[in-house]
Amino acid sequence: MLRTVKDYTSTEGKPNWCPGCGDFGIEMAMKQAMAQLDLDPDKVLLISGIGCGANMPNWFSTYGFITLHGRALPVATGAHLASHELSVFVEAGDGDAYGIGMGHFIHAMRRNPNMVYIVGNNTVYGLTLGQISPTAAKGCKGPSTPFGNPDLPVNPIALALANHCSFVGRGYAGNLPHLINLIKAAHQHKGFALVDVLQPCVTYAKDVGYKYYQDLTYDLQEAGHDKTNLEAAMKRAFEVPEKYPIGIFYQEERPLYEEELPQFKKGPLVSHDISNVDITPIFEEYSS
Amino acid sequence: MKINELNFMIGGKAGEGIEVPGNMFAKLCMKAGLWLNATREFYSVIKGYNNINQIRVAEQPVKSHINRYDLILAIDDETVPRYYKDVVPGGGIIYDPSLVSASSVQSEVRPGGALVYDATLMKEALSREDINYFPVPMSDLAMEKVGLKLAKNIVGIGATLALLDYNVQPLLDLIVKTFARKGDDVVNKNIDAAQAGYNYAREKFSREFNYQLRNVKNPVKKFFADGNEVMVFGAIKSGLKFVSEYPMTPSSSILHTTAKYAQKYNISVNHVEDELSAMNMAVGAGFAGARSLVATSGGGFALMTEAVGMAGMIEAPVVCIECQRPGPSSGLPTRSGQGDLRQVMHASQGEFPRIVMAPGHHEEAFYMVHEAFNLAERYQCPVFIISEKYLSEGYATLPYLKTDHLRVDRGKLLKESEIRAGYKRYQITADGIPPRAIPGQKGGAHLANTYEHLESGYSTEEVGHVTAMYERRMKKIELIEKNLPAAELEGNPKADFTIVCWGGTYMPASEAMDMLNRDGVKTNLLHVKYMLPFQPGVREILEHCKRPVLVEGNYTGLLGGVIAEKAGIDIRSRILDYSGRPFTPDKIYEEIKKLTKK
Repeated sequence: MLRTVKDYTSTEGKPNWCPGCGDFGIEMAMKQAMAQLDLDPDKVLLISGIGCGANMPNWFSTYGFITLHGRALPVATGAHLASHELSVFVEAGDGDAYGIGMGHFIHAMRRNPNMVYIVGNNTVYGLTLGQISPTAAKGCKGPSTPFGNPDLPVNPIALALANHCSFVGRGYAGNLPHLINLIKAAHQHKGFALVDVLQPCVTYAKDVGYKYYQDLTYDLQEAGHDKTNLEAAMKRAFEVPEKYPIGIFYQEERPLYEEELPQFKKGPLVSHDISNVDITPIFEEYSS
Repeated sequence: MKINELNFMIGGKAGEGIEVPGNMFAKLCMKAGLWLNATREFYSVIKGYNNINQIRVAEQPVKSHINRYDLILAIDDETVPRYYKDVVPGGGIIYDPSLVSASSVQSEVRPGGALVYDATLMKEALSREDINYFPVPMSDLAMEKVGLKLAKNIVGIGATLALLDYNVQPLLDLIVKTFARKGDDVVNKNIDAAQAGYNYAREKFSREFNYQLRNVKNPVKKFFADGNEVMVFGAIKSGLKFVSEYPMTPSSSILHTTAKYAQKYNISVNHVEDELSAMNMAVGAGFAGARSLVATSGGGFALMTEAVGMAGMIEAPVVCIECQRPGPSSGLPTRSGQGDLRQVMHASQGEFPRIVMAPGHHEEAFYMVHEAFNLAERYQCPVFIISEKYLSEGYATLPYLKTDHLRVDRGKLLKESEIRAGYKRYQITADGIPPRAIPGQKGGAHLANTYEHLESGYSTEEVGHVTAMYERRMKKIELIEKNLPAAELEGNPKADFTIVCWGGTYMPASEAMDMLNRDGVKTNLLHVKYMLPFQPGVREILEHCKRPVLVEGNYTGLLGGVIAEKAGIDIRSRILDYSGRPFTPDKIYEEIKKLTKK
């Protein structure tokens, strides 16, 4: 019997996002992708940071972990290396990923652990009442920038392309079928997969809402983009804010972090027998 | 004549190599069947500045270093004028007359580092009548025999062995072993250098020195390692599977040593981008079921603070070793101090159970780290081991440590077959400890949540749920406290003075106690090992002590504050040192002697 969204849904309660929030789309796309991939919920670990979207593990029936603001990736990396056969999904917001946790993002891409990194990119900090995020355009106004954002926005796609990210994707929370397929492709990818999701915040970022993205997004794959061409991908990454390409910008096969180390060959570290480790050889080594 | 009782020191500039000959000398002594304690004092620079390597040798286990030397091997210009006063009468200095002579003047003055000396001081340094001077042209011999000035340290070690009337062959064997990887040429050059130094000293000063090394018959099997290495051995024995660390002196060798054994013992060892990542990763790995370790010093630990609270909140087992160096801020990177106790005890917002403990010496450090992993899983909380540079980077010989009695205790970690329908990770249990499933186990799916949560892990802010969960979590503290071993008083319970200390200060304090007792000053010792929860029995012991004396490597008496808070006893007599150098037994001895006169 094929699994359905229900198999991934917690019985404890329902999401508390604002009506119309892009997070509903991301949640549904993730559950649909998991169901279509027929993942065993007990083998799925969903790790999040802090923020509206990062509350997501509350509403999943898989293993979950709501961590700290900006630290979802290192926590996920540790859990993944301890138990590397799990399907690890990491859910973070743009503040998590491109603000406070930017350093971890850069280094995770270098490391290439096998996990999907879904970043809800809505250009604002919703949970703290609407300040600008690192992806907000210059000039954007908010409670912390009453005279306009003085800084230029982060370009996460270009950043990932420039930094060895082995799967660089962008989805749109208002295009569910596309987002489901993108998350599935990201999960099937062997390595670290970034899925940046354009996500309207209907409460605080009304200028960049569904209408805005509906008009400006287009499907890279339909447009004939070659996802193995880094140069072409980089060019597309800089089409914002005139156009927002969605789909797979770039994908390459690279050995996984854990594949290159013999420690992981005997199965997940958590399955190793630790009841009687013999350290006499170490004493011998240090006695000569 | 003193046989097999020697406090030896090698002094030289950073980059000149005092570590390799020091280790060689130490290993020779170990092979001869002797016990030793070795510590290095060095500047936080890669080249230049005077560093010393202190190696104390005896036929019985050596408790601590001391700063009175029997023999100094000075391979630079600065060691002699700096330390000539610290040589015991009858002791000696081996020095290079091309660097040290009555006409030597400072070639280069390094503000903040070098001793400024002139011809007057040099002359004085070379004219003590109660010690022996052994001029050995180490640089010249090194140039002459191997064409390499840097080999002067090996020449010096050769000369040292000759003066101690010990066979040169074990040194030559060790050189072969040490330099084999660098090729025959390097091996042969070093052998020639060692032999040249040995022959020179034999010819010039044969058998006029008061100290000798001899092989001990039927020695105990032992090994030689520093505190960090010993702690790693304890971690590996306990089933270590995951390490994430960012290098920081004096904790880095924990990363290096675990990395060295990563493949042999199947451990994932990760040099990560920063300490934020290190602690967060380790918590992730601990949550997922791997025994995980982080190590750092005070500055790095400050960055880990937020994730410490996360481990407390989601009840993940994780072990952290904090190797103290003196602060505040960057402080003294390569020196020792005990200023981080409160930081470790109180890091992170809110209240949650944690265990903070500190070993006093190498052997205790081994067992304490092993225990830490069991405690972390039994009580599902972060466990902290506080060390300091003196213990972490100080070396000792140890007997092969007994491990047969050690057990891996994983607490309430469930087997898949034990997980019942309706499993709740944060179940309110009588003892406060909930049953633990790990990701991947069938039927164990749950949410680990840094927000306050229900038994399932689902977020909540409702008063009833919040208080119930809070109380269940905090209840673990009582249980931990109840099961901690009680403090013990070492020595005569009726003594006049009680040294109260923690951490590596135990080593010099323990020897100071022996010195004082030999001298008729009745002294015993209380070494507090668990600071959080506070070790039971401390109050009862102190209530019966005539005069407790606090000995700590900080300015404010941090342990004293904890004792005042937890045991209600204010220790007035205090010996505190914040110079960045570890206590010596002599210093504690002298300070307590002063107290006898008050």
